[in-house]
Amino acid sequence: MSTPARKKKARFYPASDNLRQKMGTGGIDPQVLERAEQQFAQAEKDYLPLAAGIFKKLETAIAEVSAEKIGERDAIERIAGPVMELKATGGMFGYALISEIAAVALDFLENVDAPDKDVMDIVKIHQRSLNAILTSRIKGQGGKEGLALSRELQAACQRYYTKHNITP
Amino acid sequence: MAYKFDKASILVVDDMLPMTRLVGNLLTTLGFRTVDTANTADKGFDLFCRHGHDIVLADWLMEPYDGIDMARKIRTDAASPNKFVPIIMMTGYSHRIRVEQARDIGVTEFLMKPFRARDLFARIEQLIERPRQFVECEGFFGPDRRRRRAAGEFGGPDRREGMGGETKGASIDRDAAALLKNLHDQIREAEQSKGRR
Repeated sequence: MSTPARKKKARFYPASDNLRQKMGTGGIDPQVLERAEQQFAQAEKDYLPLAAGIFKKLETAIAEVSAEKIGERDAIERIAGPVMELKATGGMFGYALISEIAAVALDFLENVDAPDKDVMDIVKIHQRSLNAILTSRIKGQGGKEGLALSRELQAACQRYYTKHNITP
Repeated sequence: MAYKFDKASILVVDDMLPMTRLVGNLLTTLGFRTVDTANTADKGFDLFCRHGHDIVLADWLMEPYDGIDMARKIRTDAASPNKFVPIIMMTGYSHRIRVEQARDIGVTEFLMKPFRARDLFARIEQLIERPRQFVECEGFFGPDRRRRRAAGEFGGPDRREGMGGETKGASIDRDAAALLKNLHDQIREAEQSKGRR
């Protein structure tokens, strides 16, 4: 019988107070934080070209997956990348509804394994919605109509989960 | 008294120029004076080796090397000037498995995109007020992982409050409203007809 290899003991290093020594304590002036929040409004003009580039990547990924040019294993990840980027960027540049709908799509993609037809149908309705919002330059959350749209997309994902016995 | 952010240096690494610019502007407005930026993980690591910043703020999804690769290098590469530096990983990913992956290579804090200035400030405040001990054991070197779950996940319509734009239920431009309603109706109809099949 062989002797099990002895596990290396964990070594602990105490937490450093380097940042506190440099920056002190005391929080932040609320007016400074408010000024920082206003930076987002100034960045809005940068968004559409950025989003167009990400959206192009999404279209290419969907086309490649639909044409079965990408193995099943990588397909979801390939689509999820640009969807995540749309989610990450929209709300920071004044397009909160883009983030909201991309978040629904990303959550869906993180819960499915393979790009079957039903998955791709759901991905495409998200793509169509995102494209329409970008093309029409709908800023903000889109009011109650935007909320109804994202709820409807969530419901479509939920129906897929129910049909395929997935617990998100 | 407020934090003296001007005493610390920070490195921002993101491959999207508008994002790097926005985050840089946010940090400058908060009071940081030394904000360096890089648009690839490689350039970011080089800058870090030269200047040894006090905080690193990196995006996850970059090419050819991503933020995870860069964090790993900072924690393990012999050239790294400070393997204990706090690393904040910015990303749109929020699933538990992704968070754990980042945590397991030694990321200190997770910052979900989209975020607001107060979210960024909260992460920095966390680094100052609650610094974490480091652990070195087989296959891991980084901040102690035994901690609360990441907060503030952005789950779509469930987190509308505080995300900018207009408040919940507010009305929007008539054309935009018609377009969104039309999309909603089309999706509902398509789903219903699928259900009937």
